[in-house]
Amino acid sequence: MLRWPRSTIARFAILSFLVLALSNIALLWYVFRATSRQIEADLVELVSAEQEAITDVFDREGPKGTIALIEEELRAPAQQVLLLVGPDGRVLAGNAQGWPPTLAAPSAWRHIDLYRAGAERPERFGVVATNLRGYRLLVGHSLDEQQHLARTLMNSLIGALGLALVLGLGGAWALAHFIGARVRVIADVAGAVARGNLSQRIEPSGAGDAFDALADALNAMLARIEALVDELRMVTDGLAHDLRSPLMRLRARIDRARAAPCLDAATFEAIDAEVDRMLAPLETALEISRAEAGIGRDRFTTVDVAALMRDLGEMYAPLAEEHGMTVRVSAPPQAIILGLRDLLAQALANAIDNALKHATGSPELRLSVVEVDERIRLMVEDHGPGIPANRRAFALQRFARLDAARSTEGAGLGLTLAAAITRMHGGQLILSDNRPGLSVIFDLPCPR
Amino acid sequence: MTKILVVEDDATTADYIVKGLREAGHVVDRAADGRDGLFHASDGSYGVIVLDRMLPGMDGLALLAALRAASIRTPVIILSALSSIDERIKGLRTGSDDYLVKPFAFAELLARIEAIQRRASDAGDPVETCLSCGDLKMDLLARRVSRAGRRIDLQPREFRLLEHLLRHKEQVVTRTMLLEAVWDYHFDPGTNVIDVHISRLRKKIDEGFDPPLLHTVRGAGYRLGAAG
Repeated sequence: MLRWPRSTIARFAILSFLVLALSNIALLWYVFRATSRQIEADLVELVSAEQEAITDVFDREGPKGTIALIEEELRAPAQQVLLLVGPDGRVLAGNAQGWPPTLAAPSAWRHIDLYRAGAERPERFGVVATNLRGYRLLVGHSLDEQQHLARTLMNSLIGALGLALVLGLGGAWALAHFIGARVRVIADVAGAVARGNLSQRIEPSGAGDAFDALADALNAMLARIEALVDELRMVTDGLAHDLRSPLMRLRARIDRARAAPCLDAATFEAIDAEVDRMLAPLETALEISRAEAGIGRDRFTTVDVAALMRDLGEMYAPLAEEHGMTVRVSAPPQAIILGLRDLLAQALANAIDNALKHATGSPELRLSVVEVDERIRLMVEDHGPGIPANRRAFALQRFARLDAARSTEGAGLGLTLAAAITRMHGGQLILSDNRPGLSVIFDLPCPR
Repeated sequence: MTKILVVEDDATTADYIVKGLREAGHVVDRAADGRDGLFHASDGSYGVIVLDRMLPGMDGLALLAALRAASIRTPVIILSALSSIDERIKGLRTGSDDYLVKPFAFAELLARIEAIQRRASDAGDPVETCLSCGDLKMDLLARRVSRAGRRIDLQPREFRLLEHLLRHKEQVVTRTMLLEAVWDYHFDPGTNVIDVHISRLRKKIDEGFDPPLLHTVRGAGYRLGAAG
């Protein structure tokens, strides 16, 4: 039992063969039918005319005249058959061996097998039969030509099918060769990546076709995978590094408590606080990774960032006042983007928190929302010491602390998370000089 | 006091929660897996269900969905190690009333349970126009606050903050709960941004009055009420 092959190339070969074969069969069949019908029509006319002529002679001259006519007609070799039999069934004239038993008289045009006089095998004729006052007349014509045509066309068809087979196989081979080569290039790179070499990329052929588009898309995907794996490495390294200190401190406290004569509430609170100090950067680092991976993007809704900025301004105003800063918010009545409100709030809060911690001496903290050139920019600006240009990229890295002594609280992840959240929302976080001070700009796209 | 059902498979965590709740005076039942939890919850007689998300045999969210499909409206707090925003949204959308991320402080869980219980018990009450605690009075219609007969001027946000504390008087309200209820945000502000608002409010309603009403509860949050 033949199984339907699963190879695309084999299927293509079979399909193209079938298409060619079927179209050839259809064409030749049509030609055969049309031609055959025409030939038959002509023969019918010829035979009918002959029959009329003979009938006419019979009517005028009776059987004798008819016999004479028939004999004269048959003197020239032809494709026709004529037969006259008497009322008793005796053959009177003609070139057929006998009246075909299956033929009635009268009979309209029909195909019949007849033995011609002297023939050993029957031949196919188209005949009409008439009853002439008891005598029966048969007039017919050989269908040889039609059969010859059929044979010719059948041979043509076989030839065409053979050609279709060759073309089908040839096409399939060509397809396999050209496409196979392109696919193999991609498969090789994918294999190298799977073995661990994440920096491999597919070389586009320059033809600008669908395969190049596929190569571009796959390269982009590979670049993203490489970036995510690097992120992962950085997070785990950074976390391991940054959790060691609190863990050491925790151990120290536990050791002290073990050695102490009695356990007091203060010890437990200190241990609890140390655990909190470890949980915060852990949670933030996870948030960063999730934001980088784009998790949650499918839950984006409309967010009014102008209202968000006003809310945060009002929320942080008392705390800012304690740091000697007044909060000023300037935003339009409404500014809508697509995103997750709480994540955006987290990002902005981190920037505000950063300013409150580091922008000592700044009298004002400015929160603004501006729409410019199809972008919406959320800005947190202070007039503190700022960040020198050559340290700004570093400031956004994980666990980066600009003061080497790590004297202030915090794991250095606030702006990193803010940057990751901004990227997740399709924008970018820009640090720039507020002359003097720091400008943290959340540059986001306007929804279309 | 309504009954609480705790559905949690980890024995240590379950013990921690159940013991803490019983010490706080609550009646607590517990179930160690999804099927058992669903069985208990289906009789509908609990005031609050504390539901762990990762359960053997049946996912916590599936259990919740089954309860809601059976029209059981018991309030549910989900406990989950899955802390991302979209997991939280998923949990809330499936029908939970609150979502707490592990590891959590017990005080936070207790405060939220009691807040849910207060909401449920207040549900049938007629709408109040006046809230009060001791000699502190708040007129919701006129938007006026007074204590011992003296008018106190509050900013709109301070008013909303005090209103929430009054509605939950004698209960512990955590900073996260305040951020959610008064500002309608759920993120980690890091520093003590809420504390400053509270201390300003406290200055206005407690300074120059006796006894102090707004108390800080160490390791938990705040409580408006009698001294303690």
